[in-house]
Amino acid sequence: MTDLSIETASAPPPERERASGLLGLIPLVRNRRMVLTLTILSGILAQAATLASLAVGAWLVGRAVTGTAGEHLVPGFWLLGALVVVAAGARWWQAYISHDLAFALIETLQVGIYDGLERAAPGYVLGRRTGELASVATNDAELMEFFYAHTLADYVGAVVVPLAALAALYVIHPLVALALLPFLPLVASVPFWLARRAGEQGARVMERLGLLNAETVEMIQGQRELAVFGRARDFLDRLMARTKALAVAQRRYGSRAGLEHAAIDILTALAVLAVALVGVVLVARGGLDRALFPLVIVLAGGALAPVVEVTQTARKLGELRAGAARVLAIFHQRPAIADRGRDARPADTTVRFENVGFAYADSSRGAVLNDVDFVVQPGETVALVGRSGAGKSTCANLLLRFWDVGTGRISIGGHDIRELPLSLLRKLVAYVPQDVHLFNETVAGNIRLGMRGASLAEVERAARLAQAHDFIIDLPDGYDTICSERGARLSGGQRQRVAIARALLVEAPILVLDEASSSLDTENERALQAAMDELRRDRAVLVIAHRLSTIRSADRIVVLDGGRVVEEGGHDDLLARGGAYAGLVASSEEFQ
Amino acid sequence: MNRQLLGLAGPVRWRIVLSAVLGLMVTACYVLQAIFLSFALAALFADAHIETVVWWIAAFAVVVVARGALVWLVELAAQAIAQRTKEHLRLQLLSRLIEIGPGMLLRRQTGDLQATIVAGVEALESYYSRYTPSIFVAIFGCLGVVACLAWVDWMSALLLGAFVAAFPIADTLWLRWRMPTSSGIFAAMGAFGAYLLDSLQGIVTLKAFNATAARRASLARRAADLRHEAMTALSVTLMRTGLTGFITLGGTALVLSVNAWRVAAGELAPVALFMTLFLAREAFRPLDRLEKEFHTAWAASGAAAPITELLATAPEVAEPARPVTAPLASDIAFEQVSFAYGDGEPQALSAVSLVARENEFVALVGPSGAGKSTVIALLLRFFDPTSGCIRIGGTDIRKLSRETLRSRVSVVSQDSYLFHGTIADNLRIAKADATADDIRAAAKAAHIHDFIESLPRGYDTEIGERGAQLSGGQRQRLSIARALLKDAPILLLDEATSSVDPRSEQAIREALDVLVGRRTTLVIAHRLSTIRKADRILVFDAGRIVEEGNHRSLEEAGRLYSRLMQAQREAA
Repeated sequence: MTDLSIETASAPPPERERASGLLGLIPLVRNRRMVLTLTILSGILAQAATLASLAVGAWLVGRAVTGTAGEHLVPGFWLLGALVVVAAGARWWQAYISHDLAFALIETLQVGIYDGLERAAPGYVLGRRTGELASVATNDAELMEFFYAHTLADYVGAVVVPLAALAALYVIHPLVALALLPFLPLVASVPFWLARRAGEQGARVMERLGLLNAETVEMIQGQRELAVFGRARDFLDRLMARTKALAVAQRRYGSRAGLEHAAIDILTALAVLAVALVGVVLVARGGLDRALFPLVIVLAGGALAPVVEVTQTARKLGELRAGAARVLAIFHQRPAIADRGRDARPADTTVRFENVGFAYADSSRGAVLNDVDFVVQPGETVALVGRSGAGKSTCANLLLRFWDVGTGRISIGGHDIRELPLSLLRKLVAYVPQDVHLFNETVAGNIRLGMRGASLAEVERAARLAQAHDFIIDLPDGYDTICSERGARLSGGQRQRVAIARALLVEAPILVLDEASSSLDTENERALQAAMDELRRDRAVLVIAHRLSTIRSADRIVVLDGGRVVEEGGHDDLLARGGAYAGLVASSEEFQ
Repeated sequence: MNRQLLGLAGPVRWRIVLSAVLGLMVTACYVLQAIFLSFALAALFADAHIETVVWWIAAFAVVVVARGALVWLVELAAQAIAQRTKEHLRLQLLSRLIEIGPGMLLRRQTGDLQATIVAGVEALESYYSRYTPSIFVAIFGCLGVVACLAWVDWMSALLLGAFVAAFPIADTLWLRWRMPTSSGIFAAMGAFGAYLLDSLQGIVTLKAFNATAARRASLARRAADLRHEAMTALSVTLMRTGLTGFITLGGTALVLSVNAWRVAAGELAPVALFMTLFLAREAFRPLDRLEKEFHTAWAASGAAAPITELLATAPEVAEPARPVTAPLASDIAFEQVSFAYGDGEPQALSAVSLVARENEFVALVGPSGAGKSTVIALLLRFFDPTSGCIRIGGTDIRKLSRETLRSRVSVVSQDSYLFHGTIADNLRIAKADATADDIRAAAKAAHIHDFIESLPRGYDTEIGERGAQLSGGQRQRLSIARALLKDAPILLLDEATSSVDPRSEQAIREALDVLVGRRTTLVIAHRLSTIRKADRILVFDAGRIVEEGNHRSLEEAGRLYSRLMQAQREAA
């Protein structure tokens, strides 16, 4: 169940005015500038030294064939040897320094993404919830790392080395340089000849792969139904048809890529051919020293090698640019609130929403909350009820100060929550979210989240109160059991109770509870109810309620509709009144 | 080469050979190019007629074009191998999945299986389509190039050959020496990535508990540690790049220098020197290629293990060699049935005996984990009992083919899976040849017809992934409609625990009344109203039947059953 109301919580920053794309990322890695520069330098050195060693070899060949005495070649041999050592050393250095850069960028980019998403959460970034964006963003960051660490130097080399070779050829004879010149842009442009088709074909491959993935999941998850109804074979045939469809798309893509590969191959050889022909003519006319002819050929061949190297990755640049834009957008997230409060801990913990209004940054969707006014006293449980999108989650998010109110104020014991330091507010308000996230750590570590120094005895006490102790000690390693990815080891009801233990440990006087809408079996339901009763004692509880039993047991019900409080009172009163609440209860098959 | 990977290769052996031959032809083209260029140069330096030089260059041009075509063909061959391999592997994997049966899902995560079948197969493909052919090309290509050089001058060939041989030897030795640590880095990187993802997905929770700063500090520390550890290990591993570079460039340089000296001394013909110049590079080209493909293949070797494992997984239940025909009666008997989900796991059922007579309505009651769901899983033969025997109409169900068995049984459950597609498609799963009228009749009987008709596209409404837009009550009623369409003599019902609204509950009850009474019915019951209706109630606890009777007698007994009912009344 997603509450659509918090969509577009913080509008993505306008991207056009920012230095878009890959270069825009450079300021983000400024503290890594040194290692970045060294990476590029090492790449140029490695490629240049390789080409130079080949060139010197060719030059020696030319000299030897034209009758230079052996002993006059010896200095050339030494030079060649030195260049080989330099080239091999530079390759090693490049490999080392570029990996160092890659790992340095993991630090900078990944932690930067964490910071950016932390500022934005729980809002939407780039139209996605922060949690959903996580894997996309980390993938993007990996792309960036790979680009900076392993591709950027190649690109710089692909510009510098051919130019150097061209300059050398120009010194030998301007005409041979001229013969090579057109091939450089020609080879470099091959990936763009069919760029549009490549894009379309790539998209089709991804789409079909996605379909195959989706249906494979269906087959796995629906296996019981398929078995019971005897339809497994039919589904298998369907999946094989999907595999074949994917194969067709991939074959088209590969066939085009192979064609490009061949074109690049032919062009590179033709460059050598053109230079050789011009060279031959020049030698015949006496315009070029014959001894330099092998050198000319090798330079022509070597000049294009770095370009060929990067054409393999050129098509990925579009993807990289999109990734870079996403990473930038995350880095540029502004904090949703300013933590400037100084007030001391209030003695009274009555929560008041006073004429609260709220609208999201892009106001296109109008106000989400309007003049919302209600009170939660200590020891009282207030249930917020309403359709999806009525503004219930927004109320919770505002009380937790993920965002600030637009108009009016929220106060605790008479203090505007904006006047309280955030760290204090977090001690006052505990939160049990609808979608409990358990970290891939021990159960004890998960309960300790809000109070890292808590002793095991305190953790156990909280777990007991939350009716979680008994099942925790039945786990293989008790409180030291690792919860595994997204807490998958525990059932829904158990995870809820761990989340409640987590909230109890903080001993906050105010609790925000976003009730899970999923169903639990009787035992879990009962344990949860007992845990809830424990929570409610002496606390001010604001519960976003989905279950009739919860709503009935609340002290008061606040009914929200379209961002306004439309009714308030007890269950029976409201039902008798026959207004919005009664309509809600009657109309929805299950409470939203 | 990896034996496990070779074992997985499908019917692509000849295609791989073809691809290798094409690859060798590309290498041959490179060699011919080098030879023609050498002859052109030799002619030029021998003051031959310019036409001779141009002829050699023209021959070079022809080879270039031929090579371009071959490069394209190599790519097509690689694609053909890739597609064939993937089809073959997926067919095997999916068939195996069906044979293993749904029981496996209780032991493995969907995500793992999906990754193996889709991403794993995609990753594995490059091993056959790229890496394996490039091994052949490397071996025979390098030999061929050196042989060509030997044809001109055996001494240069010997010298160059030594370096060419040194390349893979040094590479292998280096990898053998250093590989384990670098794969440790991949694991560390994976662990860091998982930690980051976990942090990002739980970021709202971290914020609410004021724990973001602590988590960030730990994240930064992990990143710094990762960098430090990785670079310590890599500094040695990466020397390999320098080493292979040194062998390639140094070998070429040495042979060139020696031959240049010999030409200067008049011991060698110039054409041999030219061939050294151009062929030396070609001798290393297949090795460079192999090196690149090796990286892709490395990723593939990681995918091989889970694929092999899945293929080797034994089916949970064996199909009988000579299945008997379906029994006429539909009474159910469990005789001393015991079952555990795995070695060392506690027994889910211990020596359970029960009987459900034809058309009897039996309710199974008990706390979760008591073994009720296991009864249904065993009856559907998702697993076989470790001991004991289950009979339908007197026939041991292990003697029936799975298809026959499952055709006799309908299942209605709260987590019934709905497939991506329309509502009609999902109902038709139960009976492929059902007419529109059949479907409407079933939906009407299941009290879901009115709801379906109220949807904008009626029976053609698409259901989201896992039927997300439908409520639990609606899904259960769809599941009932499916069971009605299937019309099997045995009904297994896993009642919803969720609190459905009264209207939905009423509808479900009426729908069930249509099913119950004319079939042998086992119900995992949670609702008092259902339980009261049962002919008999079996109370399960810790894998055993601890009580048996009807509602009143069990309430009076004042044992587990009455306690459970008491708890239920409190929660409601």
